[in-house]
Amino acid sequence: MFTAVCSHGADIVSHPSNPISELNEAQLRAIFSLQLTTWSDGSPIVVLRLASSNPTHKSFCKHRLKVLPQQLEAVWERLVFTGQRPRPLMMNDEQEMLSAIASTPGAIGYITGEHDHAVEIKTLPVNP
Amino acid sequence: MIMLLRSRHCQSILKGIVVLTFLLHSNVSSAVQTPWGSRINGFAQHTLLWSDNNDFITKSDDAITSDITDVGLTLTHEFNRYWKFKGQVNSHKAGETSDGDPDLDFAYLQWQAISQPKHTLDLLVGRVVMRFGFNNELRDVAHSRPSIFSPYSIYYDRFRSTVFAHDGLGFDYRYTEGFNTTRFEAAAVVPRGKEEEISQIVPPAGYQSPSSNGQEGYYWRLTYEEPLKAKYALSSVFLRWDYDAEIPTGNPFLPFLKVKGGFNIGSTGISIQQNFNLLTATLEVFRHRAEYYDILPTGDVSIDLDAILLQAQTTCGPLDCLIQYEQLASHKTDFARATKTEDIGLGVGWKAFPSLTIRTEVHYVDGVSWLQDATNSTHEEWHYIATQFAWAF
Repeated sequence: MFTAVCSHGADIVSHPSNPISELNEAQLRAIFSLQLTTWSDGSPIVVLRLASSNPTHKSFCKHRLKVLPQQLEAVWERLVFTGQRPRPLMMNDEQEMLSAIASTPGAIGYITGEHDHAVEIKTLPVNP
Repeated sequence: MIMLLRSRHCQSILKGIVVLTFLLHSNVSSAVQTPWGSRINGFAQHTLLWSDNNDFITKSDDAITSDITDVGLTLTHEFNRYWKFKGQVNSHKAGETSDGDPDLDFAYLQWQAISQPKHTLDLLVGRVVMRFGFNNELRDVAHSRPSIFSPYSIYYDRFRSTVFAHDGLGFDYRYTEGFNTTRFEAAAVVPRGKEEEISQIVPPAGYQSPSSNGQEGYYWRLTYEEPLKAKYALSSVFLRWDYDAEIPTGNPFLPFLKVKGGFNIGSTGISIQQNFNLLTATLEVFRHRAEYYDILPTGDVSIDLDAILLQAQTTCGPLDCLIQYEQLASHKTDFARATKTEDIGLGVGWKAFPSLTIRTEVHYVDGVSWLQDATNSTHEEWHYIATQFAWAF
């Protein structure tokens, strides 16, 4: 059972097997800009995302990454069309995000945390 | 109404709408994974362009151009952890200036020679991309760059085969400290270039059928990046083509005079991009030098151009907003007898669907020096409006 508390935009959540228990802002930006691709144990990071128009995605970009949503999209597009990285996996809504994180080792994503979820995931506090 | 539907522009617009409608309903919004494990991404974009006093893409009679279409496919295959293949095929159709023939944009094999927590080194062989400033961030294919058009990107679109990627060897070294990366890339190449593109650059006029008989090129780029926060680059590119050219003499007994000579271009500059809380600011300053040697009847000629780009991106409610200023100054006068061209652009963008972006830009331009063959070089002040529909998977 997991209860997330939304303090500054979206909360960062990951698969329970994730070897780390907290993140800092630089680490979060490195993960979501697809520059950091493995966890500390060498396992691959699987980045999940919501659609650009999703309020949680906008909140996540502005308050957590402190970057414009279109700037994040542009970073991903450039990596895709220079053959460097695949795009993060698109989730239709937060429920799908939760299910995918719970079932995908190495996965990381974000939710608003406004309700209880009966799925086993890990929340990652973000330090400045 | 029938006349309207039969018009060339209307047909082109309808064709674009049909294609985009098909793409949006085809549910292809993420990369295609092939049975053999490759990943394929693609894009298609269609642009409408209106301009006054200058028909700069095509010589349209009514000043509206809808004949600007880009289509591309990118393939990535990872053989194992160390060996990868990356390639892209593009088609760029832009009125009378680009024919739309598919072109192998880049294609190279990448081998990771060093893979340590702080150090990585990749070696590249094949058609490698010339890392020119923030080329991927500012002037790559239109759907992935901030603005639909800028003087830089017009040149990049039009002479993409000549300036973008060349066949050769390169390396890419990255040093990571914390989460910040210092990167040094370099390559030595044999410049290619479509003959019709080269013939627009060299010889400048009066020559026929230039044929390449020697080329060399290299680039290097040093970047420092704090992910999603700041990026700085110092880069330099040099390309040289030697030519056998035939000068028309007007003499029926000796119609052409054969000469040997060449052309080279070099660019060096700094690029800075900073993300503030809700604003991305970019500054790029470049010195370009073009030299014609042993090929012009007027003797060797060199042209120095100083280019400045200042760009800011932010949000305006649900829309993405962009403002940019670009200046190109030359130490010699251009065909409009001016030494400076300025472009001020304002743009908005809207992500209509996860895979579809619609953007519109308005530009005020003072000067014509970055246009190769402006149809109205006497009007130094002019405007253009561009609207682009871009779909990518």
